Amino acid sequence: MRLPRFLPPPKMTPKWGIVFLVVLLLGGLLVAKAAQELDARLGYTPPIAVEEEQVTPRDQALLDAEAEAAEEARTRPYEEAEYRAVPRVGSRVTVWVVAQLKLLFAAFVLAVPMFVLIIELIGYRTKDARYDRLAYEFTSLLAPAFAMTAAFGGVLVFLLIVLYPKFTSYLMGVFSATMAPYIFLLFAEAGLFYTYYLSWGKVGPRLHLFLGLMLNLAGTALMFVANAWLTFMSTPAGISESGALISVWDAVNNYTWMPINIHRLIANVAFGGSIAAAYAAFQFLNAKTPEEREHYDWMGYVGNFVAVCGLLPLPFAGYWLASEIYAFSQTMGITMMGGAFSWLFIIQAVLIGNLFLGINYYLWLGMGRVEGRKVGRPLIPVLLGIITLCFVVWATPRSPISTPEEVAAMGGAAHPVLGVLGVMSAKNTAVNLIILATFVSFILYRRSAKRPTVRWSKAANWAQIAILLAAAATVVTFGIWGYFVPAEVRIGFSIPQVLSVLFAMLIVTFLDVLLLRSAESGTVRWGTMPARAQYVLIFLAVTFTWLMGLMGYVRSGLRQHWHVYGVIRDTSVDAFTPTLGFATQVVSVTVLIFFVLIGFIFWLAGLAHRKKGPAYAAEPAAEPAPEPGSGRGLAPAAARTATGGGGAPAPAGAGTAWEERP
Amino acid sequence: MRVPVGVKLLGVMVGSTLFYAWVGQLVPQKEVLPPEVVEMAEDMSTDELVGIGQEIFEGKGLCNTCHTIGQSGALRFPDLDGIAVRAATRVPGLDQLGYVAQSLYRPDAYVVPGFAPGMPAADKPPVGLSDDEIRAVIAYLQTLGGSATMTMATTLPYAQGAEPTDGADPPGGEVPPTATAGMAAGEPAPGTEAAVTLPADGAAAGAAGGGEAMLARFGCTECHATAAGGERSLAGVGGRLSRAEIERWLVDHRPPLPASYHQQVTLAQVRTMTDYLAGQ
Repeated sequence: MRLPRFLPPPKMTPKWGIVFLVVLLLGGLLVAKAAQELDARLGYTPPIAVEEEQVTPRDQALLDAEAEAAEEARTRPYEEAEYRAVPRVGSRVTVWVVAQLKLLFAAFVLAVPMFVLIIELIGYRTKDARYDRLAYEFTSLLAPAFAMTAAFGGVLVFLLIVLYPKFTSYLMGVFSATMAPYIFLLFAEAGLFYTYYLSWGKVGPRLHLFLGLMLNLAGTALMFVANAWLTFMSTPAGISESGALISVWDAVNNYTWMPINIHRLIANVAFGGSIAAAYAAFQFLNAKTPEEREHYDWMGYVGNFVAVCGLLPLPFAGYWLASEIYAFSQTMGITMMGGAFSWLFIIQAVLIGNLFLGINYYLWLGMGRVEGRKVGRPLIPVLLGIITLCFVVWATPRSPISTPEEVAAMGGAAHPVLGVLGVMSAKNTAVNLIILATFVSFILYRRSAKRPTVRWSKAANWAQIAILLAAAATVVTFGIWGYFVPAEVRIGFSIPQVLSVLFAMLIVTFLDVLLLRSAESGTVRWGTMPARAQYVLIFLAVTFTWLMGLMGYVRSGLRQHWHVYGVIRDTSVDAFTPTLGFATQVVSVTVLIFFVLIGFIFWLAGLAHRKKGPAYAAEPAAEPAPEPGSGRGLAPAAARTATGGGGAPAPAGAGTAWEERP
Repeated sequence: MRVPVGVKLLGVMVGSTLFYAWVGQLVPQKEVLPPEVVEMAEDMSTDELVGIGQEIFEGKGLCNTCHTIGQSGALRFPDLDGIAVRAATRVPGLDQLGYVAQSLYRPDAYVVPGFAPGMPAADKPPVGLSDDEIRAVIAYLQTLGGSATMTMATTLPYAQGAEPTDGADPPGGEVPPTATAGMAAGEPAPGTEAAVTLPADGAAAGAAGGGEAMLARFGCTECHATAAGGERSLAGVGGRLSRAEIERWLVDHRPPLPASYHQQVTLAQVRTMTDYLAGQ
């Protein structure tokens, strides 16, 4: 700092230093004196302190209660909670939704590897890369679905332990011997899946097929173990009246275990096929190029074909399951078919009727992509009439909802005319005829692009017609006869009805394969299916999913107020059987959540495939494949030539799984 | 206006789901509540018992799930109209009360010709009625073609601690004389694999040999081994199950036993086999 010029710069000498110290000392004394006087005038003031709040009687009571509760908690003996509640939604609905979502993803994860293995095997045997690429694209959907299954499985276990601790502990106690195998199978399935998926095109074809086979075996075994737990709850065995375990194997091998295993195995295939077809429809509708449309049209067709293959034998597996429920407990069986759940089967009839109508409609639309003669076209109205009529019969209740006056006018709860259609004789007849009609639609679709050339084709055609008519006549005869015999005889009539339909389907298919082996083929213009056919595939997937949700409800709901039927009673607030209206609302919400999640998976898969878009677009459309409904030559030509797999996410740097490695 | 594909897809998905949910609202809506405990007083009149019995019949007892009243034709289970009259003469040796009580407590002991066994015991889960509740149901059944005579003081056969009335065992269970005449217990009859002399009642039939032979005669040993370690071995069963549980298995076996077993076996024989198995 610079001082002004008029002041001379101080010159610090010893004299000035002494003066400065004296002034400082005197100043200090004066300040100390002034502070002392001020302090004497004001007096002592204590430091500022927080005043304690006045405790009101109410606050004191609360504090006492809190202390008392804390003391009680310290001294209370441990008690295992029987139930815990989820606010507003409730424990049962929470577990119901999560279990159903887990089941839907698990069904998809178990089903897809089954038909993927078959498609891959066809590709390997025919050395046709299209099938391999298709199998890979189906498999690519599994990875996110696998994660979803595991996530929902974890949440389900967590919920069961938290919300139903006592019952879960009991169930785990009974099946403790199955836990280790289950965990082993869980890891085996995960390991095999990722090995199968990631080694695609990188290991030898036979080894890869073997991996696929092992994946299927592990998945199926895993399902069988889990099925033991849930079927035990409905049809317990291997325990005493008090619930004590006598035999683990008997508990596993209870009345409905194997019927459920088989029923689920088949139902999973139908469900998985329909979801895969929905994926193809989704991609078809968002396709940018003709090649993409061609590929996804074919993929949708294959997915729907798989779904139909699963759907046709499903009612027969259902018969077996129902008969085992009756064998376990007539009360439970009658509750299912004639008691609280009887109207559920009317809803089921609407669903299955829609499934068959949708499947047939898709097949009929598919005839449009075949060039040349269309032998089946004139029969479509006839088939539509049969299916619609059978649908109406199936969905007709024996006792319609009526006012007391209407009941009096009818002379009882059953309608005098329509009531005749509400009994099992009519319904068994209807469902068997629907199956036959759908089979005929499929045969006509196969024939739409084929002209048999063998000399005996005319005779074989007539033989096929005769077999189908004989099967229909058998079904109708036993259906009518059932009205005139006692119940125990009538129940047995379903067997010849079912066997005649199965026999007809097998023989006609066998003849058809022989007939069309050297047939002249027309041209199939893949990718030309109208958009409404794709929406039909979406509708079918929703219907399949909804049906699975509904049947899951009845299987579980049959236990009514029992955790383990007749042994462990449900004493929670949810120990009542809800109305069907409420149940269908829960099922609907579950289905919507599932489709939001699966839609997200489709979108992700689509993103992955779009990355290969340029490779696609560069591929020219090649000659069309001509043979719908048969194994060889089924696929579109674009898929055959596409380096990226015709939309299939071929693994980077890899060819097909069946290519011979150096 | 062109509707985006995503909107259409959403429409199909949500629309079809809502459609099925709507179908679910069209059917009858019934909420089934778990059965409540029925309060039974010691001084209830017969009329009160009938009223409660009817409520149990239509609700907690699940009786009308299978049985009808006043219907004919192809029925799955016997119609109960007029049961009060038929019960008195249905099975020789059983009076009305004995027959109805046996039907409720031991439904497989006698099955009406033309029908298959399948009714659960009323005192066991899943129905699980108390003795007094069964008393009320019987009072109601007595009104179907007759007059109720049941009171809270009436001795109820098969009730806890009670024994069946004389002759309560169905005569169909008697072994043909040719199989039993002049033989000691457990000694096979000529031409039969394992015939036995049947004891007159369960209390007198405690001999182990009798129970073991009966197990063989009724074919139990075809599936169950009697030696330890064998398949489905019965050795040590007395330590694993109570007497009541063993008896329950013998009358309501899972999987069900052949109808011929139920047609032939008597309660006395069941008790003999129970005694034998309980001692294993």
